[in-house]
Amino acid sequence: MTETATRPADADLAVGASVPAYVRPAGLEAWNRYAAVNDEYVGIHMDDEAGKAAGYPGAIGMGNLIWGWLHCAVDGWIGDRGRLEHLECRFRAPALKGDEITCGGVVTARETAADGAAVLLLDLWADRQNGDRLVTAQARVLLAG
Amino acid sequence: MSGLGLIRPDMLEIVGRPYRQATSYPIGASDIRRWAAAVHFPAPPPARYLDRDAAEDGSLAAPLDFNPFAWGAAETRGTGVEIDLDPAYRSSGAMEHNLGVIPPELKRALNGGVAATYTGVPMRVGDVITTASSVAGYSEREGRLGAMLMTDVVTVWTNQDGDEVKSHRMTLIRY
Repeated sequence: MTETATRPADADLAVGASVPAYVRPAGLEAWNRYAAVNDEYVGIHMDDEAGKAAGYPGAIGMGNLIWGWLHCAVDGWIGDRGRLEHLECRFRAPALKGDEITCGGVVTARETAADGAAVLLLDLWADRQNGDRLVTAQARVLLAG
Repeated sequence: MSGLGLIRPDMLEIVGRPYRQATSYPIGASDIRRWAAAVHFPAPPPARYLDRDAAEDGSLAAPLDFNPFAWGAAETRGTGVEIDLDPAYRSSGAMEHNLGVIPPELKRALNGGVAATYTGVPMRVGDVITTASSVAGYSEREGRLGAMLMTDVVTVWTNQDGDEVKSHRMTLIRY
């Protein structure tokens, strides 16, 4: 079989294609596990009173955990077809207990690097169930030759 | 002196100078496995993180966001010119005191964003990672929190062979 530039298997890498949703529940079950591996036993993430003192309804989730979920979203989508070369994000609002966080994204451009490698540019985000955008991000993915 | 007066000349003199260096303990397979399990919860992590053979033959690579310094470093190296930090600034993320410079008089802080550029060099079982952090630059603006100082901190990660793993940038907002 002759491979072409538009193999069906790569249709999800075209400009406009979506990064499949990566959905995770926010709350102490997830935050405690993340605190255990990243030593983030910070009051504002563990204690409702500390969260309220900071102006939130209660304890809030770690930005680092959403950062991790964005990596998972890209990794699960691209697999061994390429690798994440750059990711940057801005934290706009924290996750709260009981939230369902959906990380998603879209391919915004396809470029060719100086060495000839194909590069995908992505817009990414993390939203809570009511549509609030908690995180905005951009990424570069280098496609495997 | 800049417009809002938050960026002093002595602060600009430390831009680009490492203020903290640290070396990790060797990365363990269990460290990687638990990290992946915690981040992917409540789903199981991808099968490659649970592959005992990969763990034993050294081919297991850590997730890109894995932090081998979470529970401490095997070694840290100071600059030799540190000054004491006023306890009032401990929650501000101040770093200037590590290079002998009094931090700006801003006691509150937010994480304004993070960025990482990955070289393709993985972190594997047994690797020892060394980091060097420095201030890449300052900027300031008036915002909803009042006068805000943005500090870009860049940390370069290298492995035991001197190969760069990633460059991590964090924008600290002090106000």
